[in-house]
Amino acid sequence: MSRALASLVFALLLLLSELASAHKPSDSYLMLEKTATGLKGRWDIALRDLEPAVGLDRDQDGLLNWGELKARLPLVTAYAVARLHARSAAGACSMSAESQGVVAHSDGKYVALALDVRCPGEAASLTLGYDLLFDIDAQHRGVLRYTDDGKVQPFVFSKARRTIELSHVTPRFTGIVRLGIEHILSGYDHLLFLTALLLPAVLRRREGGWEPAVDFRSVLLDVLRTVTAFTIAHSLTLALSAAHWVVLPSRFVESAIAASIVLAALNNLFPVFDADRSLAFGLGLLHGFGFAAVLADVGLSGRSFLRTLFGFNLGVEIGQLAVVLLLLPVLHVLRRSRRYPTWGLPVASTLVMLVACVWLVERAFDLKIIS
Amino acid sequence: MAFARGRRRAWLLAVPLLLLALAAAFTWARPTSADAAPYLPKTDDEVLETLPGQLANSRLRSPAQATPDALLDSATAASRARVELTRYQESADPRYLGRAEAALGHFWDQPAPPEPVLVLRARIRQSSHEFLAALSDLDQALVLSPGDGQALLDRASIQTVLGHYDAARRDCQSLEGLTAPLYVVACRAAIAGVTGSAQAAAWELSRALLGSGIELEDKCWAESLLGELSTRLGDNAAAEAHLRAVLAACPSDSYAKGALADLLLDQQRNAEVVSLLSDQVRQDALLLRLTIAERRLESASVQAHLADLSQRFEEAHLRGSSVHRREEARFELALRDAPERALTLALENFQVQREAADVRIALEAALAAGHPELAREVASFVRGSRLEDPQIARLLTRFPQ
Repeated sequence: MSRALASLVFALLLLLSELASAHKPSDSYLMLEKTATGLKGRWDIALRDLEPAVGLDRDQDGLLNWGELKARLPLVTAYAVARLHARSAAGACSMSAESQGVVAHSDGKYVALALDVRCPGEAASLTLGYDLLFDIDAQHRGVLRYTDDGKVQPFVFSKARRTIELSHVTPRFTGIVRLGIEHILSGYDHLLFLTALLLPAVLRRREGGWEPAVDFRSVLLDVLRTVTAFTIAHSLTLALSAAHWVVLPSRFVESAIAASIVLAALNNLFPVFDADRSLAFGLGLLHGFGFAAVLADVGLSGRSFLRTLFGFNLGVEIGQLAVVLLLLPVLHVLRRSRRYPTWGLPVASTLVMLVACVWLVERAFDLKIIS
Repeated sequence: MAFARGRRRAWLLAVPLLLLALAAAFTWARPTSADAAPYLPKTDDEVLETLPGQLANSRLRSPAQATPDALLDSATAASRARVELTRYQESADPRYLGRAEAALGHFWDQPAPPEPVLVLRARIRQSSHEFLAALSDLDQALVLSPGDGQALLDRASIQTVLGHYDAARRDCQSLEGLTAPLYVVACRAAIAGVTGSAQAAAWELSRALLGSGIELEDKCWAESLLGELSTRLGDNAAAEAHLRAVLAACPSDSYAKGALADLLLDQQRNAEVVSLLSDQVRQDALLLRLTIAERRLESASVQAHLADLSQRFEEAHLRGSSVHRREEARFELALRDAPERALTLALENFQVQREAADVRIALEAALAAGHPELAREVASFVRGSRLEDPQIARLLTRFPQ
């Protein structure tokens, strides 16, 4: 009888416990990006949610440790993958998942799965089906952040909405150009490299030292030559890499780009290469591989290949030109200062070099130094 | 000479510019994604998650895992849902609400499921703030079984939240004789507290509490209600005594904690709020109160807690949830200094629920935003209801009749 009475109080208790009901409900987080062949991304699923579904706490002590999870990872992966489906017009896509360890969200730890979805045919438009946990928690949601052509769209899977159409619109030319501009403006390593190359542009070498350039016209010509050399070099490797003729591992490319900045800055301090052009060209080759990584995510295929490549490169050059136009007046003012060759150039070059060294160590050894 | 000075000035201007550019490159070069990065734990012993502990109520420990087929039977499904709802009530963890709904899965979309399922479905919908759907489930249940005290009590409380006080009072009346006197008294007291007879209700409720054989959790709940009535009556000392008594008997009672924190915040006793709630960071509503106190005290942890709250509200938006609009309105008003946003949320919330706290945040936000006219409906609702509350009464004087 008392149990029945206790349950009678429930309604009022609900009102009173309103305050307390603010724990987090069950959500999984899907971050997917459109690729040329399907989708790529990450799926975070709460360990709290996987426990009743798969059974992770083997020793039943209420504590879930990494050893217990590790032992169950194949099961977890299989459980998850069986509940996510993708189709293109030509048929079902293959789905593979690989654990990336764990990740913290506001309500605890989640298992992080790297997803690779490959679809048959032209994977332009996809249908995504999601059926995780609804049988266990009817208020579960699958929160999807879908990125297509740099555009992010949010979707939510629920018990009532288990399929979502992801229609792909062929990126417009202006969109591709914008992607190029955005990439160069947010890719600080390319900008820093350019800065290192341009720092001495307003000076002329003389017997191991520097003297101000004679006039603005010669400075301009010099900058033009350097930038052109850089552009030709990275366009070349961008094309080679985008066409998959030359493919380098991304960690190597990223590290080498950092090293190229160190070299360029070092060359300002202890000039070895006489002409900036050769340096710009040689090292610029590396940067093209870096650009190609971005383009690969957009998806380059068939007839739109040249259009995309050209548009992206155009964007990169526009962004680059903007930076040069910002930098040139500053350098031009500095040109006449007596302290620029003796102090300004070495100090700025050293700073550039330091930043690049940190990047180099981070990228080469996969570390995080600056958090 | 003038030429040299000019050059020097240009030099002084250019160096900081360059340094600034470098500093910017340095700072922004790091990925600033809001998502944390996955990592591989260093050792097998690293504890990743503490699974929810055993229930206080031993009768409900480890329910037999019902197979999907078993849940096709309405009695099995209902008893499973009841277990999950009790867990929800004890832990305040919304995952159990979803599990209760899943247990009723087979019956969930049926227009006319069996009566026990209707009552449970109503509770789940009520907890998800789908008050009208819950009400229609209970109407249907009470047609099938007019003497179901539980359904009557549930319906009375929903009517109270919606501000339908006459309907609520009728349900409390019908409850007479169907259940223990404490529940009938409490049913009436919850309405009395917002309709101008808090004093009599408090007296009646404290008398009912003197009765024997009342279970501890019922006692705590009823005394919390007494605390709320005392707050309505402006008797802060009595309210505090009641709420502290609740916390002495039921230390994990988060309603009492939140109510006590609000009482202390209204009296600017911020340091006491911090010591009351410093370990309550998992519950958004309590973290909200803690952070408000910390902000007033300018304490160091305020930034981290603010970021935490922002993330949680952000996550709620991502899943399309609007259950916590009242809390979010308070967050925007008290912690983000965004009264317009707070007002929008508070007015949306007022369309869904109309308890004293809902009214108060709407009035406060409207005044802070400088748009009292936008909360005219709220003000006239309060005037029509004779809701007693010194804080709300004070706010109301600043609204035109």
